[in-house]
Amino acid sequence: MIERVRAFVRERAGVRDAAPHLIEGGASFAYVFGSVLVFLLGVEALTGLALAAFYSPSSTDAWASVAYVQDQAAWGWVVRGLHHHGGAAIVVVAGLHLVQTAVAGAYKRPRELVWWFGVMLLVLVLAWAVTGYVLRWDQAGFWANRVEMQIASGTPLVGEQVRSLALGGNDYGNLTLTRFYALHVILLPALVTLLTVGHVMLARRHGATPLRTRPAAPRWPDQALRNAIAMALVFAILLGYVVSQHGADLAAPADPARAYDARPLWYLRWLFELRTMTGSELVALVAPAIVGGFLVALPLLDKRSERAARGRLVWLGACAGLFAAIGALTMMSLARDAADDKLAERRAEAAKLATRARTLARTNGVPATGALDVYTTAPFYKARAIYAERCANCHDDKSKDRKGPVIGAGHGDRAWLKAFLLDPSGDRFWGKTKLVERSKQAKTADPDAGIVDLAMQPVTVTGGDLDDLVEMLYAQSGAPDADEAKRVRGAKLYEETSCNDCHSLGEGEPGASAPNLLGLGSVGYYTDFIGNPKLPVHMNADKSQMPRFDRELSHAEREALAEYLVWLRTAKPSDVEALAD
Amino acid sequence: MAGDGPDRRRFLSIATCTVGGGLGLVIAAPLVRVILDPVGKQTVTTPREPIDLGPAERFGKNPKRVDVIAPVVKDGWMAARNVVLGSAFIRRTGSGPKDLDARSGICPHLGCAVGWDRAQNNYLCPCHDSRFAVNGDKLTGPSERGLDSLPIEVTRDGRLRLTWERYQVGRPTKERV
Repeated sequence: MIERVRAFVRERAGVRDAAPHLIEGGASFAYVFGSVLVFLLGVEALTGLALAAFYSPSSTDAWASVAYVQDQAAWGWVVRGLHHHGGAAIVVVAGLHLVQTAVAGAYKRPRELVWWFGVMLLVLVLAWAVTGYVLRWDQAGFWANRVEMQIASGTPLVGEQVRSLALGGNDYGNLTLTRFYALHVILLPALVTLLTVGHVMLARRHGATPLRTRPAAPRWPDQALRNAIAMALVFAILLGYVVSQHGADLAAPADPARAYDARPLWYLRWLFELRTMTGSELVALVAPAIVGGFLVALPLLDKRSERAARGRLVWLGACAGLFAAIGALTMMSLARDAADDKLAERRAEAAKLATRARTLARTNGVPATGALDVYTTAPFYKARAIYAERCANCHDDKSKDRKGPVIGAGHGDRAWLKAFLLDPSGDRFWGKTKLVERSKQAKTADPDAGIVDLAMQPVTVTGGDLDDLVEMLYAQSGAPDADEAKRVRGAKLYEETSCNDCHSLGEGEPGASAPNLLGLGSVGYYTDFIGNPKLPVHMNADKSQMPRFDRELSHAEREALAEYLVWLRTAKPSDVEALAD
Repeated sequence: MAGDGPDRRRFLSIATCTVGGGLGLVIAAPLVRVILDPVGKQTVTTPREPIDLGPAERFGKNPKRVDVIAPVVKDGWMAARNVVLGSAFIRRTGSGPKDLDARSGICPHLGCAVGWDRAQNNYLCPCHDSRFAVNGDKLTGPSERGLDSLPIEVTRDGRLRLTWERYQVGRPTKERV
């Protein structure tokens, strides 16, 4: 069957079976590196294609679309992980390929072109990684790119133009992403493909540099099997790593206003370390030029046909020194970071933010206004922002100059109401207010004057009666779990125990000397109260220090705040903390 | 491995194809899965629940055109807020608080936006001159059915809520898209 298909194609496409390619010195695992690299490039192409089917290169959408693939599309994290770490695998295998070639002296005449194509490919692969890293538009990729472009702008004479060309203008934005995207998915793949074809064709033309004196072996299947085994091995390691990392990392969305400890991709760490050590951005520009220049010049410098290591100790030493230096710099940079406790703290903070942004993106979607607005989709985001700015100073437990009752989890629930009724002047309630302070001062000044407290006195009812009274107040909020029988008894007690001497429950009717309690703890009540606590129906001007907010906050803002207060009633402290994370 | 005979070659060929084929399958699995992810998934969702159109009492006997605005439309990773889904015509049909009628502003002929012709007191589609009576019935023109009514409800506090639906155009019967 296969033979018939082959014959069909051969006859019509004019393809003739080439003489089997022979490998001098026999097949070897030493020759698998090139094939593994082509294989990895293929993996990048396929995973890249799948990712492109999800990616949106715009400054409002880029992060969101990446987060979507990573966190929502089925197996998206596997594909993204393979793409990200596959890029690193290419750099590693290409490095090994280069070292092997250098050690074998395989760059010598007549294989100089093969070597040069290879060096160019290595440079392009690194550029490929750099252009890919910014596309995710998270804090990590964004800030790393800022540093890289800062370095690039240090290029003598044309630096600024280079930066402007890459960014697509003066600053990071939509044009930056469309440009890097075009480079990453069209130009660089095209160049790498062309150079790879050239590299492989030239390498085939010259054949491998024989390692041993063994009879030649055919490429298929002898070498092919070794290649396949090596590919499978590399892929198994790659996949294992991807699974262990759950794909690739994704930081919080890019935020020019929020500092981030930018680090380049690990294979460019040596340049980062050089720059940190010397404090010079030019060094980070010159060093790769020197390394690249040396690699390009190597076949011209080491010209003798001698391939044995002994005769080329100088050049082998130079190569070894170069790689050792790059390795050492990388290690130093990683060690420096690992020893930095402050950095670890900031990283933990950044990781928390990333989790928050990604969780919100997954549950609420990212607003059309941009990924940074994902934070605004958090529950009570607006209310909490207003609370922090306007309310926390006087009402928060942690505030050093609290002036009013504590607002927190359980505010206005049964336990809270009960505690309040038993001790209205307690520290959590009116204790910190001027109301209580003024009463105390008056009493200290003249203990015999029989001064009536300005603040409410503790109620004298106890036990089941107290619970009924609490239930009656609790029911004012409209809470669905209020017990009707208890409420009715409480309403009777409210009158019997003379609550209504001071308070009122009539709509819009001020109490004789205390707030109207109608709707206490409901959204409407809070909205109105926050609007103007000094109204006679509420605290009245003589009893309230709290400013009115109806001129500063819109009705919608006060209502949002009120909804948050209502939510607090049933919230546990851990729920409130969860909102803050 | 023994010798260099055809058996050895055959064995090596099969081994290579097995390893390579297996590898290909392992790579293909996540790719195929992720590409198939959006298939059959609600990637764009308009709200199914009724949309608030304000107090019901603001609508009178003459049809009033209102934009139906979805609080949130999810589109892939994005959640767009206050998205105009389309427009509807609301008119009062009786004296009761719930006597209201809602018609989609989408012409059932080919989907153009219908307008209210004040001069002739009926609806006019500008694309092909289909006309519809005030109660939505088909009058003249190519449309095969009258204007589609939309489900509405009036809440206890007197607000009109409308469920947005789209129907197939160019058909004699009303079928949901």
